Amino acid sequence: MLNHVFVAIATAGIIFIIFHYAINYVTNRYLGIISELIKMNEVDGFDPVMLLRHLEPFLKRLGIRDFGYYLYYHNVEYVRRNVSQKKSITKFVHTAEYTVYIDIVPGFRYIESDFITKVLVEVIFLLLKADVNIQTTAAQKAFRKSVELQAFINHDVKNLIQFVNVLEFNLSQVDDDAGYRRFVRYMQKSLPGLKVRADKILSALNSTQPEMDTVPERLKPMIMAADAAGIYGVSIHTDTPADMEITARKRGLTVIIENIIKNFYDKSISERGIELFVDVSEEENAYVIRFRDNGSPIADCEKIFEPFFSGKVNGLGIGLFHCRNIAAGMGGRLTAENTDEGPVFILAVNK
Amino acid sequence: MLRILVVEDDEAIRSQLCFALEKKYDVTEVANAPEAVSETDRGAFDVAVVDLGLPPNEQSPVEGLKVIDHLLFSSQCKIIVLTGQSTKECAMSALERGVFDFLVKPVKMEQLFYSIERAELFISTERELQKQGVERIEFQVKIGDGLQKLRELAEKNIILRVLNDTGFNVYQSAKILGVKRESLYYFIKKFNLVRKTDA
Repeated sequence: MLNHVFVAIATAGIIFIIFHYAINYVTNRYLGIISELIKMNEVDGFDPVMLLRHLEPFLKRLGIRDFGYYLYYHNVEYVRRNVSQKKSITKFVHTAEYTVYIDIVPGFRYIESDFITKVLVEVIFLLLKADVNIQTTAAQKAFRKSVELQAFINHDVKNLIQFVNVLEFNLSQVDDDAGYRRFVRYMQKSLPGLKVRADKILSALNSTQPEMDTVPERLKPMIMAADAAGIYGVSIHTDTPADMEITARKRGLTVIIENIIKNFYDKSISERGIELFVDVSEEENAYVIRFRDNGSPIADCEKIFEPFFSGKVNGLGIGLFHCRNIAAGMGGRLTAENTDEGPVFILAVNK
Repeated sequence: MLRILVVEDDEAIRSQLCFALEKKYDVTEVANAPEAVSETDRGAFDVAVVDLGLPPNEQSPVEGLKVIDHLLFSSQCKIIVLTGQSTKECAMSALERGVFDFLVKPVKMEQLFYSIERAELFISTERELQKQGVERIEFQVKIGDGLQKLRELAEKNIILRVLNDTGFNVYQSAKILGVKRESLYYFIKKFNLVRKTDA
């Protein structure tokens, strides 16, 4: 009797151990394949269509009998019909932007449970849904920004054409020496603004790439700042000698200085009477240019460098992002901070 | 000589516009809305050429519309909008306020001169009529809103015009309008009329 009990317990134990290892093996196998699927989705750039294309071999390895899907987003549809008559596990979501439907028929495996197939359906469904969300959100953002960028460039190009139209008219009106001299005087007044406008267009078009088109040269940043300030009628307070020199890329430094001074000018319109202080110092490894004003603090000193972030109405928000890229391209860094004396933009250019 | 205010933030365009206009007109140039307001407060202009996209919001018409509002409130200036902002909303916002012309950049200078000449013609005709005691009061209404609204708007504009002309002197204004001072106070309160510097 005792022997029988012992044999029964031993058999039950052996069955339990076999069952336990079998469950572990199957679960690990499933999870390993699911993990591969997730990694592949990442490699494919979270593209739901690529995920669906690569799905079949994975499901075959998992012993799935058949599967089907329906995917709709951006006004395009992807369909695969499940032709099996067997009972399937489905998952479905429908929103104004997209529809995701997945339908999986489990295979005949002794140890496979409905539970694991349900987990598989859930994972594939969530991956598809997340991918579609990523694609639609990214596309919407890209369209919105593309429209903004187009409006921005359109505005500047219209101004350039307007300038050419007036210039053409004025040229036709110059008929004597006095008129010619007057015309040259006005052209000298026009040119700095025109250069800034052209720079703005170029900056908007190249906003993601640091400008590397010039080699470092000896420059006088205080004179460059004074020139930029002159365009906007801004006064600069400084303790730095005008002839102090630094080594930097001229074009990049010009764009950064013009951008920061333009931002100060814009701020001075709503905060009348604020003043701009610009100073240059030489440190061990870098030249440091500080642009400080005594106006209101910067709301978020890092956020302002994010692309497409702007505090202006309909502002494109690429100016400072572009400037930081340029600074990085010059081997330096552009930062902002709020001090007791007011907000400061700090441009450090490596020697 | 016609006095023209050029409100344009782009220095290149502004200086070339001034070059073109100075031969025939007395031109003052400004680059932003606060400068335009202070120039207008210093002296009256016959015509203003106004860009809508002014700093700090060059991509929006808000600053330009501020200039238009101030010019229309404080003077009889004819406003010619010269802007790159060609959306229907921008045009509607400006035209609803009563601007004289709306030109979308880029325009040929001949078009701008034509618009200024038309404004000049309007100004001289209005001055002629003023000599005969006819005042031009402008208001914009939707026909469907009915006569009551129309009458109120006309009353408001006439009273505002007279108050502006007299520097908000209630005694003089009441005399010109032929009403009692108490009635004028009632209208000032009813239409919420305030002197621009008090607003």
